[in-house]
Amino acid sequence: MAKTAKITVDGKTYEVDATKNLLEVCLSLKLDLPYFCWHPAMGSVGACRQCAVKKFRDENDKVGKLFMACMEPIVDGMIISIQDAEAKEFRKGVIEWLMTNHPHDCPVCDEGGECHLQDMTVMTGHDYRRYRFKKRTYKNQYLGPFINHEMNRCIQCYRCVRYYRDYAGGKDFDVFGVHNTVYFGRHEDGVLENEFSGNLVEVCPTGVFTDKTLGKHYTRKWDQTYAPSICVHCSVGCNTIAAERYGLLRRVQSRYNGEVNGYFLCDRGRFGYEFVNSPKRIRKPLRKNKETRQFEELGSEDALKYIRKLLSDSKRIIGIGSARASLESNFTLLSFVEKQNFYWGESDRNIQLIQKQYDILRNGPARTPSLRDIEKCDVVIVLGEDLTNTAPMIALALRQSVRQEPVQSATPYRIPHWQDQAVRELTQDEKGPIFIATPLATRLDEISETYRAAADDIARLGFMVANSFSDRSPLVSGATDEQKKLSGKISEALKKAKRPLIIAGPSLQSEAVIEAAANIANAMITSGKTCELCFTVPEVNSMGMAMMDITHQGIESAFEALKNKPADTLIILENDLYRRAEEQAVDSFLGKFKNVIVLDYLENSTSLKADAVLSSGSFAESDGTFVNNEGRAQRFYQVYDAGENIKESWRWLRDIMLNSGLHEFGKWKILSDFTNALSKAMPVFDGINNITPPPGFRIAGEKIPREPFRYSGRTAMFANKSVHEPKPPEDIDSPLSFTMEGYRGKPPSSIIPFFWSPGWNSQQAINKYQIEIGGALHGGDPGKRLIEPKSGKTPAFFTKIPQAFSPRNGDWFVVPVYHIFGSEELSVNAPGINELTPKPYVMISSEDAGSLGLTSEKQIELEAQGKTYSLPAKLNLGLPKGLIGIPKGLPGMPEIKTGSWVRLKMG
Amino acid sequence: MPVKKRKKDFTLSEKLYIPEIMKGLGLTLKHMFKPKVTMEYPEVKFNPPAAFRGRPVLVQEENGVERCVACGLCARVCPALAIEVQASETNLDKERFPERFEINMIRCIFCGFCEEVCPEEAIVMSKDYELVFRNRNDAIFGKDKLLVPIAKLHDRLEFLRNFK
Repeated sequence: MAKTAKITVDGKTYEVDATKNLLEVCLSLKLDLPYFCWHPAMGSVGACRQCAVKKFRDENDKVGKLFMACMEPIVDGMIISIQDAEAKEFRKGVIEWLMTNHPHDCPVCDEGGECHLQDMTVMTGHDYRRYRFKKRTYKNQYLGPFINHEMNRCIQCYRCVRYYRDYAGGKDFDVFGVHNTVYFGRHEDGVLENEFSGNLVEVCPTGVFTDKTLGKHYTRKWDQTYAPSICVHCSVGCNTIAAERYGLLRRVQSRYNGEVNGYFLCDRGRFGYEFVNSPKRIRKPLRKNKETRQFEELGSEDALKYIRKLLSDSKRIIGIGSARASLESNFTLLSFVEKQNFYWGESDRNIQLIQKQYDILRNGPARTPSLRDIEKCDVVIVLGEDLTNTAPMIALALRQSVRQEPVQSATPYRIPHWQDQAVRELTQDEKGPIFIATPLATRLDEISETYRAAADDIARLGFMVANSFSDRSPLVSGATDEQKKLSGKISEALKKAKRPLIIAGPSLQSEAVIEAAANIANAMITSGKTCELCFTVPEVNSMGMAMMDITHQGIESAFEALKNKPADTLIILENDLYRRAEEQAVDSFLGKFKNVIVLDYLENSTSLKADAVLSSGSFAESDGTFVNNEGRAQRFYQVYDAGENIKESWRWLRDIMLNSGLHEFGKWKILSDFTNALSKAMPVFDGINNITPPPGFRIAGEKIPREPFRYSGRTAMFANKSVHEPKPPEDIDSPLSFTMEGYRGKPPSSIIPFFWSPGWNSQQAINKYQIEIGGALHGGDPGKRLIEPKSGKTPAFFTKIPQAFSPRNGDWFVVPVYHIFGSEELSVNAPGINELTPKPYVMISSEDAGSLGLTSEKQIELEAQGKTYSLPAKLNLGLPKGLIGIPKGLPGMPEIKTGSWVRLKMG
Repeated sequence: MPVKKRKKDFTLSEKLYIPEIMKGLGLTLKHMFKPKVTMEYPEVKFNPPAAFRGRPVLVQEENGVERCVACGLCARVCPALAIEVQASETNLDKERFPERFEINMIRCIFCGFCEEVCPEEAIVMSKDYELVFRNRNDAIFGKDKLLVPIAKLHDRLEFLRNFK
């Protein structure tokens, strides 16, 4: 706490943080004070008049005056009253006004039961409608596959528009109209463009914006089974709450973690969950019939017997791990096949890059920041990453960090920083310095200074900046004027920065870019400044894989190794090899094995080629640990028990090992046994067992229930199947239970299944779980940072500067184009995401297209790796000459290697 | 334990026994000529008053659609956790309908909370008290058994309008 003050609330004196506003302070003190327009992430505007409290001049003042708590700065010795009769009457009156137009459609409203407006209405005591006239009605809009719009329910708190425009930087949503007919929406029907629109569902205090995917299989908040989970759709590792009923995953919500995602999630994370319910799910172990080449379903016992038969006569087993599988699953496979036979199922190139990033963070002096830290940085340089599409939540964090510097200008005017409207009026469009160097235009360009170039030129720019801080980073010769001007500007900004940040990543497949980023950070630190260094990685557990003690060999190495030393059995863990390497290479690789065993949860090209498929649990049916790009180990727990045919990969592998006579693994029974063994075998993971309480953890002798205490229908849910009430499944791996019985208080921060507090049924109940509003959860934010910077050592500098990129005549250099909706393997199986996934295409700069006489959407023939593909062209303004953009991972899109040269023929 | 003393000793006529017998027989004889109050169930069915809480049923409107919008409040309030509602979407004005609505009638305690909490007057307590099952599976009432045409429920709906 920076500055403290003593205030008196209803006769009781508290010591509070003086930099906050009165509403925040009251909520931090866990006092119940209704509010609407204020949101902890967005500050105060004082629009809804709901948080009125009485303020008294001194002890002798018995009359007092009404003030809006969210607009009141804390003054030492302040005397206020929340319970004052006049204040209460006022708040009740405000609700009554809001309710004059609010429809009584709670029974069909998705928000019903978790509605902030319902909570506040009950809290203020308004219970009878006196207004006898017609309610105002609106037409609703189509806002895309994710968000449902029901404008009649609006109470004009303005949170949505403040979130969408001010916080998330959206453009296609606004407030229209005047007086009593204010309208929040788009100028016309259409899909919301912003990638963070899903947060409107949680930001809206009532049911104007609701989750359309939940609406398709609607279940009330109290009827869902929840578990603390981790988003699997990128490397940031946002904390989520996943909810289930009847074995169907119903929705994903943000799980507050003050250090990671805070209150928000991106749309891929929020709506990508539906892949779990996809018809492509593998729900039972499969065996390929040798004659018909068709899959047959097996029971789990039979499957294990069959696999035992396959393994019994195999001499050498190769294991391929995966960065979308948990640490435990990879470790179990590693223990089974042993280190020399274990390959990380990623391309060799990617592994080199990720490994390099990890080495830089591990050995270098630069600290890797959490998402919250990124928000607080004031100067940011992004090298080569299109963050909105590769690590979306970092992009949202950057939209906050550009405000760091302008907000400071409010201090001399004595405007507190939480005074959102005043600060925005003062700062207008001012933005803090942020520089983005990418080949393609990004969504963040509007807030940044940009540099469009190929990877090598981006790296050269980075090296130039590094050189301006330290001579130990080499001088770049032959720089263009543009580069010189820009690098000078960047150095200037960095010198002034209080908390600079460099972001880079492997998406351009360029080592030089990563090295340049590291050099900038190292050079700044050696010159006595601070600098943080953030790397994105391709998948949810890529960083964890880099940290594991494995040979760090990829797919191509596995192909090579097989040529020298044959093997007969292949075990593939949650990996689609066809996304990692060329089709023919994978085909011939798989063809060399007698037995191919796949553990996965979605049918894919690799699983179709397998001889046996074991039905692994997705994140919703498994427990495990992921390490995010920051190096934070985080645990996720299964939401529901999917029956004996779906098991965690590590449990399947353990069973296979026991079946093969490796009895020493019999002692690995529950998750913590696996995690313990892992941290013993690899000291880098020391302590990850303690990131969540042990399975034996109890509060007052009770487990933590996954279900709210008013979970309904227990004796009727499965009665149509059997009238005998089934015994609830037991969870041996965690201190969570699958039932509604258990400890009713607040669980430890790392295993919060859902947010709820008496009187607070909405997500706003998070207030009650935080030590201070917007700060850490009680008991500390979950997760454990495994990478800390090495200080005191002089960092190593990279010295190899790449040649400047020069376009070739007739050949095109491939740069990857990532799509938030489409590039990620799992989320494309969610119907909503699939709807927004672009069709395959190639991207050409408008300039090049002009010289080729090419127009948009025209088919062109692309010759790559000896193959010809016909794809429609898309023109792009910013793309530098000689580069061609190839979308990554889109369904139906051929895999064309980044960094290779391709030829074009007009179709 | 001391023997409790009688308040009053028998009178002579009582002690004589016969007159008392005659008195009793006389009473029987008198009732033989009075109107009957016993209902001869099951030949004669009892028609309960509107306030009677029989098995809960779902109101089916005249157009054949159920009133229920599957809000789930009955399931939530049910103290026996006996109601299960699975919502689905419809193009009708009401937006949602129960795809599945099941009451475990072994568990139901006829408390009427579901009726009380229902915002649509869609679940009401009927006059139906004849609940006999040959086996426990028959006691799971789905929509087929729960839906009752509104015409048969006028009494109860009238009662709710007056007294709820």
